[in-house]
Order: sequence, then C-alpha cells, then structure tokens
Amino acid sequence: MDAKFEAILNSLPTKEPRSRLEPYSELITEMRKRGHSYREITQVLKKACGLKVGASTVNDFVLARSKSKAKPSLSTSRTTATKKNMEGLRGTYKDTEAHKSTGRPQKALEGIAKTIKELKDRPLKTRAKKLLFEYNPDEPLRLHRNQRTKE
Amino acid sequence: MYDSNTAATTERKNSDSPSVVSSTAPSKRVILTMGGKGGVGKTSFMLALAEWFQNHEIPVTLLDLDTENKSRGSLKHYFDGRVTKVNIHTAAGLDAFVDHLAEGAPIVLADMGASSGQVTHEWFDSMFEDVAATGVAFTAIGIVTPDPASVESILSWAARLQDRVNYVVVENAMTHQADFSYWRKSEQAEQFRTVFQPVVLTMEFRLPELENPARQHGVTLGQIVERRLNVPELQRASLVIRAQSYRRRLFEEIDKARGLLLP
Repeated sequence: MDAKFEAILNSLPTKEPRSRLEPYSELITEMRKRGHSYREITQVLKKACGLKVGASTVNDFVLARSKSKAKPSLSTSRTTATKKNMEGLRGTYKDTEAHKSTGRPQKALEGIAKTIKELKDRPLKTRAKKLLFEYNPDEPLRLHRNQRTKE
Repeated sequence: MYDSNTAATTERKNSDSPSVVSSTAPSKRVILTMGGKGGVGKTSFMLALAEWFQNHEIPVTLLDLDTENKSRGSLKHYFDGRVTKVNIHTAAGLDAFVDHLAEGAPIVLADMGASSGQVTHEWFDSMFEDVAATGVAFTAIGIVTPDPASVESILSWAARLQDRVNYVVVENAMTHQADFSYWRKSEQAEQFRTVFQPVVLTMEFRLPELENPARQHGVTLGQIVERRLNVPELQRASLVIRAQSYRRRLFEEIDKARGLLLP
C-alpha cells in the first residue's frame, strides 16, 4: 500500500468490532465445529462470559463470517484475474504444472501478445492514393506553343 | 508534341503485354466505353468490336447501359435479343459486370451512356479493388473526334479511373479530313498519353450513304457485307464492297489492341 495511505490509516482511532460476538468468534467457531447448537453456545456465553445474546444473533454472526471467508469480494476476484492476465501478456505469467507439460496456454498467450503488437504497429491503410494523372475540366485544352505559332 | 512513331511503339508494347493493372494475368475482362460526350461514335465502335469478337468466335456478353439512347442507335437496336439493357442508376450501380462475368462469357462489352460518368466512377471507387482481385481486368474505350469536348471527356474519365483500367483511344474521323489537333497536340492530352500509354486506333470516315441507312435500320457492317438484310439502299454493289473494306481495315486496327481486349 502507498505509504501515504498507510500513514492515514494508522492515524485513525481503532474501531471497535461491529458485532459484540467478535471477541468470541474463535470460541463460537470451535463450538460449532464440535457440534454444539446455537442455543448451547448462547448458554455458554451467558454463563462463562457474562454475554447475553439470542441464538439467532449467534446464527447470523456465524453465517456472516462463513460467507466472507468462502467468497472474496467480486472486485478483489476480478482484480486478481486481470492482474494474472496482464502478467501473462507481458510474458511473466508463471505456468502451472499442467501448462508446463503441454506448453499450449503459454504459447497462446504469447501469440495474442504478438498479434496485439503487430496490430498496433501496422500502418493504417490510407485511401488517398497519389494521382498519376490530374485534369482540371475548367481549364481549356492548351495547344503546344509551336502549334499555336503555326496557326 | 504528338509523335506517331512513339505512338506506334506504345501500341505494340501495350498490345503484346498483359494488363498493367493486375499483377497476375486476368481471366476475365470488362470493356467499357468512356461515356460523357454523346454522338462521338461509342456505339459504332462497340458494334465493330462485337463483330470482331464474333469473327474470332470468342463469346462476349453485350450490355447496353446507355439509358439515354433508348432505342434507335443503341447497341440493343443492332443486336436485339443478344443485348441486356441495364439501368445503372440504381444502388447496385454496375454490379451487373460482376454478375454477367460470373454467369457467362469471360468478356463483357459495356456500352456506357453519355451520363454514366458519376455512377461509373463511384462504382470503381467502391468495388474495383475486390473485383480486380477475382481476376477481372478493365479496358476503357475513349472515342475522340475533332470536337475538343470529346477529348475533355476522356481526360475527365481518366482523371477518375486512373490506372485501374487500360486505355484504348479511337480517333473517329467524322469528316473527310478530320483535324484531331486537340487530341494530338494539347498539353493535357499529351500528359494523358505519357502517363497511361493508351493504344490509339483509327476509325476512318464513312460515307453518309452507307452510315446513315445502316444507323436508320440498325444493321452492322457485317450484315451489309453478307447481304443479310432487306434494305434496298444498302444493297448497291459499291456500298457492299465499301462496307467490306471499312470492316477489314477496322478489324486490322482492333487487332493492334488485342492485348487489351482479351482476358
């Protein structure tokens, strides 16, 4: 990240977690893994931590966390893909093992990059061709000088 | 200055060499008259050319694109049944060239009308490149008379067509001692000859007693020679021999341009 932006972020006061359950997320996650129900989790939180919450609140919290872990945001995903493509076009894309064995995808990328370069370098076709013969119909036909003298 | 020796050399060179337009030998050819000036003898020359091909048993497609010349005096008048009348003043313009070459003979003879310049030039600008790529070459026939307007007309056409066509120029002597000064001795015409090196042919003056009834009845020199017609004023022995003589000399002239008339 840009140092300037990082300095700005560091100067901001620390923001409290949006959910009251945030400090207990590790405990909740582990209990879910061990098969405890939401109701049981609320009872443990009440008895052991002094936190009174409903089962539905715990349910929402777990769902929200699982969603954010499973799917990175759309914009992040797209950025990553674009970055990879661009690296490939610049010839710095690292092949996977499968790609290395056939060499095809890398070749294709190189081909596209070459085509793009050739297309950019190609001179535009100009329609205006130099005229071999020009004639102005508004001018009278000029007879050669010696012909005019004879006459 | 116009030099007949130079012109003769040019004629030989052009007639023996293939089209200067296409890098590969063309397989088909469109021969079109450069319209613009009416009454200079475009149709008369095209008739002779059609007979020349007929004489050599080379099939040609005859197109009459002279929408102004409605009946008498048009190509259709002489070769009715063998001539297709085409209206070029449509969006498709001269696409008939392509269609007829695709369907029939390898040569199209197109008699253009006096007002066909703009349509023809626009068609060449939009279609020439792709049509030429299919092996079609073009020959433009210009007819000059002593009238300077006939010279101006072919120079105007050439300024638009440029080197996309080969040029054949026919000096049509419409009077006994025709003066072609504006064609032979004007600076602009000389420049045209220098740049495009046209093959120059001569169409000699024809006696009115032969030419007028032939036009009136729509008969060709060949029909007069072969006496295949029922026109009393054209059956005189001297006229028949004269028609034969005109025809033979004109065919000899056309032979000079054979390299630009055959595919």
